[in-house]
Formats: sequence, C-alpha cells, structure tokens
Amino acid sequence: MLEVKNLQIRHGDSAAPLVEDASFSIRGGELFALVGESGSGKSITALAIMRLLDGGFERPSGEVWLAGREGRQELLGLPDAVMQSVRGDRIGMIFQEPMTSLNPVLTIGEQIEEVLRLHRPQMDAAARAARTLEVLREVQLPNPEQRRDEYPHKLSGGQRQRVMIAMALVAEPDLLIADEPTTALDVTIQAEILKLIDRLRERNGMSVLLITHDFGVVASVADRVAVMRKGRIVEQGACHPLLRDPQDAYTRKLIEALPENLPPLPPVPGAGREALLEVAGLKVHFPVLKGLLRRQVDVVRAVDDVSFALDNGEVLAVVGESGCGKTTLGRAILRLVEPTGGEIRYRGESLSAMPRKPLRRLRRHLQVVFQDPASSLNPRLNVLTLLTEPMGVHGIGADQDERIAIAGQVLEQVALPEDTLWRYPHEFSGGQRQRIAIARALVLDPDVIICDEVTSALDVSVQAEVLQILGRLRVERQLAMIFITHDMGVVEYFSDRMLVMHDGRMEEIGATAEVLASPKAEYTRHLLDAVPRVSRYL
Amino acid sequence: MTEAVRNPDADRRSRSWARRVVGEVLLRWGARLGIAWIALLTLIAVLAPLLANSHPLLLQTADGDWAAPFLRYLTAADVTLFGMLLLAALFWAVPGRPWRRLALWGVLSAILGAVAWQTVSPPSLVVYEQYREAETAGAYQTVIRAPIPYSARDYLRDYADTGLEAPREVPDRVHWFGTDDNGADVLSRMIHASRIALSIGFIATGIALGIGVILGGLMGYFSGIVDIIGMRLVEIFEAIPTLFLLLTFVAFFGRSLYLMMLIIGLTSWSGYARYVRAEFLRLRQQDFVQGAIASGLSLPSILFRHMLPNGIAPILVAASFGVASAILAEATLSFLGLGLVDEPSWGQMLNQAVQSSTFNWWMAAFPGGAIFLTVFAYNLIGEALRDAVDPHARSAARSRNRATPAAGAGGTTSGGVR
Repeated sequence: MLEVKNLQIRHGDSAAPLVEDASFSIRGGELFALVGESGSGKSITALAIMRLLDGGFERPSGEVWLAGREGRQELLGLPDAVMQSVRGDRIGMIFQEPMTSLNPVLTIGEQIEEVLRLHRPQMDAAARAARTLEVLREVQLPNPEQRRDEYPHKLSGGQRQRVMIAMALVAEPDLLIADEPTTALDVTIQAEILKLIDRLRERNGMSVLLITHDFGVVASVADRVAVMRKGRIVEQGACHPLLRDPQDAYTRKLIEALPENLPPLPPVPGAGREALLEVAGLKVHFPVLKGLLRRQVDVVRAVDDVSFALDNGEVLAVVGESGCGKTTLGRAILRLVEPTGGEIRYRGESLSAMPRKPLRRLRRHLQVVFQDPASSLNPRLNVLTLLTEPMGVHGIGADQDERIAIAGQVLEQVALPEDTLWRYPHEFSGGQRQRIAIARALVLDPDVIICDEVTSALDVSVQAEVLQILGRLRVERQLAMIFITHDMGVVEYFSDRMLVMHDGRMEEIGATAEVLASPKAEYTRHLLDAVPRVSRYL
Repeated sequence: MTEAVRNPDADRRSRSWARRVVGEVLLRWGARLGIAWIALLTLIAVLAPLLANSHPLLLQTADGDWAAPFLRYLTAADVTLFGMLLLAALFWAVPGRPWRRLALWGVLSAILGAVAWQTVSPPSLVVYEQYREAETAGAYQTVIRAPIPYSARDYLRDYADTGLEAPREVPDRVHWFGTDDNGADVLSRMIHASRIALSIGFIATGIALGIGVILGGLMGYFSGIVDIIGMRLVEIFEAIPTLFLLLTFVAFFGRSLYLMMLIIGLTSWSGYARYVRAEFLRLRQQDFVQGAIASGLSLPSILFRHMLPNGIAPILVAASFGVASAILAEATLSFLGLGLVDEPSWGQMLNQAVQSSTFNWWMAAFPGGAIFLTVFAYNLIGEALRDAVDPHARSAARSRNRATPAAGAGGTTSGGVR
C-alpha cells in the first residue's frame, strides 16, 4: 500500500538529518505502528509522507510510493495540485490534539462536508449531507443528526477526536495516518478510540500508520511495528514477536524501561512508623459566578469528601482521569488552593485552619513537584538561586556558601553534575529539568512530597530514571509521597497504596496490589480494563 | 591556568541579577548607541551653563583682576546638578557595594539640593549684553567664553533688529543652528531644553511605572475583589483627560515643570497597570510561581523576584514609548502655549517653526531631530532590556559575541566547572 524508501529529511538549522535512510512498507489493511521517544523523527516522517513539512525544512529525498485505486504513485515528486487531491482523498490524517485541530467557528457538519466538496465534487448537497451523517454514525458519535449542526466547543475531547476521525475517513482513504491520536485522551476514551480505529480499518480495508510513544497502545492494536531512534529505524517486524524478543539494544532498553519491567524497588526500612499527614473529609468547591453582580449560580465540586492518612516512607498514588480533581486535591493539601471544608493535619497540626504566617514556616515539610518541567522552574533565575532562595527563607545553612554546598549535594542525589548550579533552566532537557524540580523540593528536607504527574511529560526511558531516583530518595530520606498520576504502570511499580478518584469523589482506597487484583468499585474496574498493557497482549 | 580562566562561570555566581542584565544590555550595539546618546544628552544637560552662556566663564579686567561672572548667575538647579555630577564621579572611583554607593549618592544629592534651594539666589534681572558691550569697549584683557557664547534667553538686544536668522546667515555672529523669533540662539536653547526633555521623560515615566507596577502586580496576583476595585480605579484614571487636568492645574497653581511631571505621571500609569496585571494573571497560574508559594517564599520575593522579571518585557517596551510620549506631551503643551514661560523646550521650538509666514527649516530640523534621536535611543534601550531579561535571547547574544574573538574575553567562554 505505502512504501517508503530511503527517506531523508533535513532542516536548515541542523547539520545532521532529522530522519535518515528510513525505509518501511505498509501492506493493505495493515496497522503499522511507528514508535519512538520524542524527537525521534516519527512525526516528521508522517508529515513528509503527507508533504506537509514547511518552515526551514529541505525537500525530503528518497521515495514514497502509494498504491491504490489508481495504481502506484510516487508522492514526493508529485506536483502540489495533484498532491492536494491525494491528501484527504487517499490519505487521511488525524492529529494529537483534538482541542485545537477543529475550527471553532464552523459546525462539525460543515467541516466534514468541506472535505467532500473538495474531493467528491460530483456529489450534490443531499448526498454530502447523507454521507456526513453516515460517517458520523460510523465513528459512533452519539446523536449524529443533532451533533452535525453543533460547534466543536460543545463536544468532549473524545468526541472531537471521533469527529477528526470522521473527517479523515469521509472520503474513504486507502491510508489513515494517526499521529498520537490518543495521547491527549483519558485511558478509557483511548481504549474506545483505538477500538474504533481498529474496527473501521477492518470494515473499510484501509491501512493505518499509527504514530505513538506508548508500547501498550502498540501491543494492543498493531500488526507490525518499526522502532525509531534519532531519525533512524533501528528495528522493524511483526508486533508481538518484536516486543517479546527485541533484537536491537535500544528497543530492549525501551521495553525494559516500562514500569512493569523495572526491577522492583527495595522496601523502605522504618516506613509507617509515624503518621505524617491526615486528610479528613476534604472538600474544594469552586463557585460558578454569572452576570454583572457575579451571582453564584452553581458550584463545581472539584474535590468532594476525600479522606486518607499518610505515614512516613509511604507512597500513596492518587489515580483518576483528567478532571477528576486529583491535581486540585494535591494543591488543596498544600493550600495553594483554599479548601472549602474538611481537615488537613500534618503531625497533628491542622493546616487547613492555620493562618498564612505560621503556614509559611511549615511549608518546608510539604513540598511539590509539578507535571510540566518546562513551566515549573522560573526561567529567569539560575539553578543556584532556585535552590538556595528557599533555603535562605527557612534558615537552612548558616551562609550562602553552606547553602551552595547543600545544593551541590542534593544535585548529586538527583544525578546531576555540580556545574548545573550556574546554568538556567532552559539549558536542560525535560528529564533534567524534572530532576532540578525534585532537587528544589529536596533542599528543604521535606517529609512529604506531592508529585503531580511528574513523569507524564517524560519519555519512557527518562521516566524510568526519574522513578528510580525517587525510589532511592524514598529509602534514603524516608520520604512520604503523594503520587498523582493517570498511569497504572507507574502506580503498580511505585506506590504502596492507591486512591481512585472520579468526579471529585473517592471511589476506592487500599493497598495497590489488592486494588489492582480485585477492584471493589465499578469505576476502578472500568478504568483498569481500559489500560493497555504490553504484558497483557504477549 | 588561573582559577578565573578555568572556572569561567565563577564570576556569574557572585553577580546579581541586575548587574547581569546591565552587562547583557551592553553586549548589544544598538543599546550601546542608545545609552551613549542618552549619556551625552545627560552630560550636555548637566553642563548646559558651561556650554552655552552669554556670561564669560573667565575674564581678566583691565586692572588685572580675574573673575568668573557665570558663577553669579547659576541657579539652584545648576548648582545641584553640578554637585550630583561631582558626587557621581567621586562614588564611581570609590570602591564599595554598588547599591550602597548609589543610595549614598542619592541621599547626598538630596541634601545638596535642599541646601542649594535655600542658599543660592541668582539675580532676578539679567543683563546679557553687559559683558559683550564691556568687551567691545575694551574693558577686559582676556575673556574666556563658553563654546556657544549665548544664553538661552539672550535675545541679542545689543544687535538691534534681529529675529529669525538661518544658520550662519550673519557673518559677524556665529549661530550654528540659526536663531529663533526673538533672536535667541537655537543651539543654546536646545542645549538648555535638553534638561526638560530628559527630566520630564524620566520622572513622569518613573512615577507612572512605579504606580503601575505596584498596583497592577497586586491586582494580578490577588485577583478577585482587589482586581475588581483596581480595574475600576484604572478606568477612572483612563477617563481623566490629561490635558484638561493640566489646564486646571496651570490655572490654579501656575506653570511649573514639576507639577507637569507629576500630572503626566499620575495620569499615565493605567497602561502599565494593565500590562502588569495581565502578565501577573498569566504567571500566577504557572507552576513555578505555585512552587515558590509552596516553598514558603515571602510575598515581595514572589511578586518582584519570581513574577516581575518574567512579565517585565512588555512593560519595558511600553515604558520606552512612555518616555517618548511624555516628551511629546510636554511638546504639545508648549505648542498650545501652556508650557513654561520663556523656558526653552524642544516642542516649543518646533511650534515656532511654523508660526511665521515662512517655514523655517532650522527651527524644525534641529529640535525635531533631537526629539527623534532621543525617542529612538529610548526604544533601542527598551528593546535591548527586553532581550536581556530573556535568557533565551541572552545566550544567543553571548554566542554571537563569542564568535568575535576580541569581544569574547572574560566570563563569556563556555566550559565545564570541573
């Protein structure tokens, strides 16, 4: 169906090619997965096939052959006008971010019909409307007659991604390119979308090029897979044999870095001796204000009646889908968001009722690491200032020299060189920045660290490093952690107990192994079923 | 190898954020030009009585006595400015902490100003012609004059019927930039007017920036009710017509430069407050600010150390335009005849260019050029500051600098610490 030969892509700014000598072929009706870490060149490969590269990219060299109804065509050499008719008609594409890939001022129906108007000019208005409705049914959008006339903002992320798929499929292409189609979605919706793509592929007999970083997704749907690293395809072959017995060292490293394959963490000696944190009936409600007088018309219950206790050296995972209130819970415990009700006690002292001043002194014991390392460090200050300023406020270290020494030691603990101190956050990679963020939390020598999705912006191998560093610190410092995440693999690997949240409420809390083995709540079961796991498919 | 060479980043750790920013600004040639122009203008403004004066700087009478007549006519402002310049030179040479020296300089300058205003009283009636006439009469052995031997308000009454003259029109008197309606030397007036241009721009924008940053910062950080009240205040001040207010104040309190600065400052802060508020609203939700709160840092540190440097870029650019618009506001007032009486100002001179029946190009070109250059210089500095507070652009400038071997000396070379 699609054959890529010796594809090479260069960008004006960099000497080395971004994609080098990439060759693969996709057969008719096959789901081919291109997998790799960020920056491996998988997305630009897809864009090069669609000839959508611009802005400083040189013309790709190599060959891209597309076979189909009208015979074989070489895409890279096609004139632009012809290529335009290939896009959308013979190759459909869906992108990662459903929130921004639909035009907000056009109805869904209009956007789908536009594709038809372009590629099926012989169709009349009635036929177009009928086909649009048909394709919306195919992607199982609820209530398609009504949805057709609605604007994108009324749909949820999963529904928008269905509309994107409908747009890609409406002209019945031979090949669908899906660039991280489920990365921005929750696991339960991810499972539905993957199932949908798989079923449509079987029904329409089209091929799919799936681009992803997630081996779980690959294992659950792909027929064949190619692994990319730094612009090169290091290994390709049938999916399950490749995952079971990877030949290339890099593939092996990636698969070993999956949380489920990591060596188990050592137990924490002395854990559970002291009760550090106690949360009882915590509520965070946001009023919904409307109109000139800002009348309160409704209330959003972001966190509703959550209770748990945390001992030293213990890791509590807070699990749930986006919007379930897990991040708000973390912030409310730190009083970055004011709780509406309930009680937070740290070593018996009530945090929730404490005035601001004494609270500031207590803050050193409760620290936080955020999800996005790009925005969690002040870009204007160097690492030295980032680390020593909080120490100065809390009177740690007698003078600046001593603080610098402490900062150096902490950096060593998170496996960063000492010269990190004189640099600025933007000089580091995502994984390094996340380690700096962890160091910033550690310099205050806290008892509890709240980790808010610390690994979800990181690649698998970097995630493994960060998890191992956190695991070691836990033993060394008897740290207790509240580990907010949506990744079940990480939960299983890293946490002692888990708390499942849904719509601000606590669904279930218990020892991780028990909850995973025999979930009590209906929602937990549903959530666990949706998680794609490599081990389940091999 | 010495320690300094082996450890190129060592000096970076001792340098404060402000010093680093200044260093980075100076890396850019545009900023250097801008700062050079403003510095030159400042020097000219401070030394105006020495540069353009009808009174000789030094003379020897026929009896052989030496005298410096210009000293008698110095105003309190002149004395204060001279003193400030001397003190600045002194503190520049003296070692010590820069901030402490700056503070000491400010305090001493203020004391000097207060003393000068109490003690210095130049004669209110000035006869500009007296020394010229005495010199023609042969009363002096030697006369040392300022480079431009005319005061700003010397209307050359001794030359009888003078008025608008193009540059170097009259062979026996040298007027490099011509003369104005009243026959005063244009270059001399421009030199004296540079004081007004500089001070009104600096002080009015300084007042506006101070109020705007503090109010806008508090509005953005606390949001909620503080924000609602603050924004209403902003709207009220935006509704006040500056010109009308100036008119009222001129009517009640007379014409004063300081009042003008204050009013322009007090009415133009709302724009800065809006910028700062918007930036702070955006930054408040950023993880690093939340992290700073979670580390227990104090409110001033969070506001001014973590948030302000990240939101300063649009404010600096706005401020560089603000200085320019304050200069133009003064020019407008002068144009409407509400400016200072008889005090020279660039705007007022521009106005004179079109007042007579002919278009007098030297009255338009020279003051207009000065306004243009000054506004341009502020824009160059503003732009360089914006780049300097942004670490991404900063390392770009550093690597550019590194490419030229001569400029790469000192702590700008790359290399590991160990």
